[in-house]
Amino acid sequence: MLWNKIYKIKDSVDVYLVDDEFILFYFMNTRTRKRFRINENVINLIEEIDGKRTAEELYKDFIIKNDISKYEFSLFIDKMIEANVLIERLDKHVLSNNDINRYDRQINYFSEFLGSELEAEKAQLKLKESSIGIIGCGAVGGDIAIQLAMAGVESFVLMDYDTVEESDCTRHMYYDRSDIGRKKVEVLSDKLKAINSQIKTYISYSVFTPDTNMDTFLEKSTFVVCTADEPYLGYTANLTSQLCVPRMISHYIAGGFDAHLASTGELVIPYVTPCAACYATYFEHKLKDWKPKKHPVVKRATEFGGLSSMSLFSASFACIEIVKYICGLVDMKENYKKRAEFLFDGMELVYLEPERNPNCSVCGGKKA
Amino acid sequence: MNYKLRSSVSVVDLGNNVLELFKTNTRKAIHLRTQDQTIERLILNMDGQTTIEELGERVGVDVTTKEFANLISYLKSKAIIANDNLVVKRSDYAKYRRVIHFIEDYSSSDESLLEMWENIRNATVVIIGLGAVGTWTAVNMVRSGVKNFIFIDNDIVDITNLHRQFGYTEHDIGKKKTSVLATRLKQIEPQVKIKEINAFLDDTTLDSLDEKVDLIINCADKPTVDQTSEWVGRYCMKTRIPHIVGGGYNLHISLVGQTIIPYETACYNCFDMQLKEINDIEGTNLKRLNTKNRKIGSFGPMCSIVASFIGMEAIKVLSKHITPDNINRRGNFDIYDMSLEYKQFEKKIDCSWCGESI
Repeated sequence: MLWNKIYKIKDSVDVYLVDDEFILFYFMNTRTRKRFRINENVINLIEEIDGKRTAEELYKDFIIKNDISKYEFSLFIDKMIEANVLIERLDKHVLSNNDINRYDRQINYFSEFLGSELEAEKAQLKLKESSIGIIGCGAVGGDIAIQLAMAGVESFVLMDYDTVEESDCTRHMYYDRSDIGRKKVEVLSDKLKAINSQIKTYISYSVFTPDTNMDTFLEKSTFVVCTADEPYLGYTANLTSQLCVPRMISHYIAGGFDAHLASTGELVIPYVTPCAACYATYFEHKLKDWKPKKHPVVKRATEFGGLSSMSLFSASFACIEIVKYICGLVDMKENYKKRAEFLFDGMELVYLEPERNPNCSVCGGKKA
Repeated sequence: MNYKLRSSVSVVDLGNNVLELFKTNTRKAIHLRTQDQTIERLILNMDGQTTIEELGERVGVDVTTKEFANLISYLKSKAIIANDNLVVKRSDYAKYRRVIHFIEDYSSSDESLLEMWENIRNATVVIIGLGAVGTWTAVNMVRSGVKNFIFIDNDIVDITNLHRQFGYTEHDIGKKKTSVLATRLKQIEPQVKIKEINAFLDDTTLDSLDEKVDLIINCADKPTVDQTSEWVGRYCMKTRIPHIVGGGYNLHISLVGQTIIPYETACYNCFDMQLKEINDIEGTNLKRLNTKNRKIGSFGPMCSIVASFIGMEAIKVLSKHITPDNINRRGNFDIYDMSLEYKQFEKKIDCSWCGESI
């Protein structure tokens, strides 16, 4: 320990006194516990540690009422640091005071994954400096943008050709009645800026097809989210992987109506996780004996079901994975998740088991 | 009346005379064992335009027989053919068609779909605590067609709320959460009626309610989630109101709270009794020491995913037709490995709130 440093008890550690004889630290993160035999001095000291005073100041205040030598005091602090109970507070910050204040609790959350306040602030900075390209600003795409803006992303590249219609208001988190008839990208851009006035958006009104020029969109995006569902999600997902994999842009495939309700979608890290084309091959194989007949109803699209809570599930799941990846909270190259379906009926999460296709036309054969 | 195969139902011939009718909304399949292709052809000609007589002629089936009537009534009871004849005439159909066609999966007739939808439309929902889980839950309910709300919270919007609580912007800082959220929701749906109770929940707050309430969702964590859930539980048992324990979070674990139907499922006290039994096994003389200036981290998407679970359970309860799933259990959603696990609880016969002696 250093006398001019400030130490605090980690926020994720519960402290218990057992039979007035032991002190028990419970680590909420790992659900493990450590026990030490103690005396009354130690109980008083633990209750004094406030994360505001330096070790020197704390010692001076403490010896007024308690009998403890400087040596014993430093031994105790060292022991607690070694046991992962105490951490050193940060005295130099990488974020502005405004950002620290605004994202205080989230930074705190990150620090539990990353082990220090400095790394947590750096993680928050990664969000701030990311630019998220969103292809398709429907229910799930819009929800993802909103949640990432709340979490601290300040640049978005938004792409959607469509305008807001009345029934959109029931499923989308961000459309109001007064937005009916406006372009979805413009409405979403306004909503993002209302959450955080620092947010910058770049808007594209293009339809996403193989012929669309995506150069500017991809240059401006550090991460891409595809939720476009026309003609269908598998098609636009494939197109997204084709564009992003060779450029080494990680992307997330999410949303899509009709049998995609409350899907988790999936994170694609080029040459590490299965890409959208690998998923297509997987489904082709899995559904080879399952071919729906031509449906008799001609205009079906307006009669599919959906609940906003199901879109919110998909968007929230995607945002957790995206933030974990961008901020490095978890090593996603090792711990990425494959797509799962959340079942409204039964409230269970069922994971699928696609693998990378070694002969994939998009990501096969090469190594990162 | 013309019959129509529901747009969200896929028909797959599995061979060996087995026909699969797959409801894509809820991913539920019904398998029909058939003698020949007649039923498949009938279903695949139900386009909503063709009259019954034309249908019979086209497929070569006598539509006046009892067998035909039985088939139709079976397909309607399983929501394979449309039950939307009564709801499509409603003025709110265009706006809420996605919700309506979703719950149609659970309908057994035109009347039952209308009834479920009216139950949802006319319900009154109390949301206690407009923080991260409460705000996302409220907007979800509005988007699902619920019109009447009572919000209970006394907090004002703070800059540190914006990273995880829906509906609050930089312009709202310093204003009451109840009225900011109410204004926001009325922009989405001008018909919503919201009663704002600007108070923090205590053991008597709910006694002042004089409305007929259909569901109470507790998202309040002050003084603690356990304490507010106990107060809500006691009131709801007395008044027989279904309630959902909104859940909370402990770092990377989100708690998926239970749905309680008074006197039918395990109540809050039944859960508490069983949780205490678990803790007793570890039992020692434990005393918790307070850590000064402790801040517990929080993360928006972790809260909104819990709100999405609440939103789904709430629709089941409000429909008065779809059985909720999170009864007699509560779940842990682990952000670290994205797993969802449930722990089962049971309704205790010796429960002092709902047991046999009551």
